[in-house]
Amino acid sequence: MQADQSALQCNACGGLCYFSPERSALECLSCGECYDLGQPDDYLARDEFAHRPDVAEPEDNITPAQRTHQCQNCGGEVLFTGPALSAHCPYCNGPVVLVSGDAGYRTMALIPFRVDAAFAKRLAQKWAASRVACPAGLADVVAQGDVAGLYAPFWTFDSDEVVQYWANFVKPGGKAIRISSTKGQMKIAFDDMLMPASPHVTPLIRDGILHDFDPRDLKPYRAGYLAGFAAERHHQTVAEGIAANSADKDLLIRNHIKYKIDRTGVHGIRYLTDTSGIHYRRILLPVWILHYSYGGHAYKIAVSGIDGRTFGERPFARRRLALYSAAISACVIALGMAIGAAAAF
Amino acid sequence: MLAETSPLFAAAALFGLSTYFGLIPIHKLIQMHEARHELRQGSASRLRRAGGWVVVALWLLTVMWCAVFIGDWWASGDYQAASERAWQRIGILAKLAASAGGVR
Ligand SMILES: [Zn+2]
Ligand SMILES: [Zn+2]
Repeated sequence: MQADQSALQCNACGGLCYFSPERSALECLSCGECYDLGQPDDYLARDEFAHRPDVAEPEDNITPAQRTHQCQNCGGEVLFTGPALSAHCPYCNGPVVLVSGDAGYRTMALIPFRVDAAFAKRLAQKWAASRVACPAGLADVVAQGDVAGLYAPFWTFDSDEVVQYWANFVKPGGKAIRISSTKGQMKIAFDDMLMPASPHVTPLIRDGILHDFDPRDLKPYRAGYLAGFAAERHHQTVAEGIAANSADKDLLIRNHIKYKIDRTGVHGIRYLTDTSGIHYRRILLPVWILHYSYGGHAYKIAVSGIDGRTFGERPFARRRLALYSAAISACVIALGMAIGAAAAF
Repeated sequence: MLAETSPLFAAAALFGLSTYFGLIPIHKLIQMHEARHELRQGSASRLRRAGGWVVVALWLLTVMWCAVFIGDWWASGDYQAASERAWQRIGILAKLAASAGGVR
């Protein structure tokens, strides 16, 4: 982190460089010279690290950043590297102030931006325009918004689970509903499971736009990739990261059990799992976030910096919802009355 | 009280109520549609949103049940007999709902 500033200076003219998604290289703002950030040993970025919950593993990789901004609205701590400083928080669009001494854990790898700001904005507009039952003119409102490029902190977790489960299901047939119970054992192997490493990174960002995350695209962490973008550093210990994402993991395990049982009306699932082979990475993934407000509410649309996949929040038009509701109501009532009339005779 | 009105008036009232209370299920339906098409398959967010079908099913079944009763009443002209048949149908609906419990 200490060599950051000099690493971002152009060798030819001394100007400031930024990372260009289009050329996937550091580009000088003054003379246009490009610098490739790749190294022969980039494949090492795919390496994973073992974690054993029963053994205390003090992590000493805590490094303070020189210039961190903290959001006065959501509390997010964001690092702006190089040019194109933004005065707003990429997560919530709140104002940010300079703070010192933001200690974070070492980021092991990242995927550099491949989609640039202008394209990301067009994708966000396209997404907004294609919404069902959205207010008229939503795309125009979205067009007014600004996109912020952010390297968002994520975990990848591997683990092997040996799950013992008990559950009830509904047995069809006969006159009465019968509830049966079942139990069993299964193995689940989670591989490169993406988990947000910050409370500011919502699961919607992970599940909405990062479908095609591929660990083979990871590059070793280098400050040059961050030049011109915001980044949030890793603040969670491995144990904290696992704990923060336990609700999601629980949901996934329950879903695996449901599929394994493969019956109707599966409910009352209880399980015990023996977790082993935990491996993790602390990584940064590129995300464009567009903020806009509609009717006094703030919304955001996220665009993947890897492949441009888009997902977000949007308002609904009450009148259009009512129209759909009326149409479906009319159909159901007509059908119901026809059935009822037939039943009367 | 309902017996003193006409079946067609009851149908109109049901239409109004169903449209009003349908706003929430329709909202859920659109969110589920977006989740199916846009959220990553098997992801936690998609599984959470898929839970919205309960609200949709409850709305549709309730409206359907009321409409079948009104249709029966309208055709037979016998409010008492129609409402007796309606209560019998609740048992069938409950079974339907229970067996739908595993559908996703
Ligand atoms: Zn230069
Ligand atoms: Zn913020």
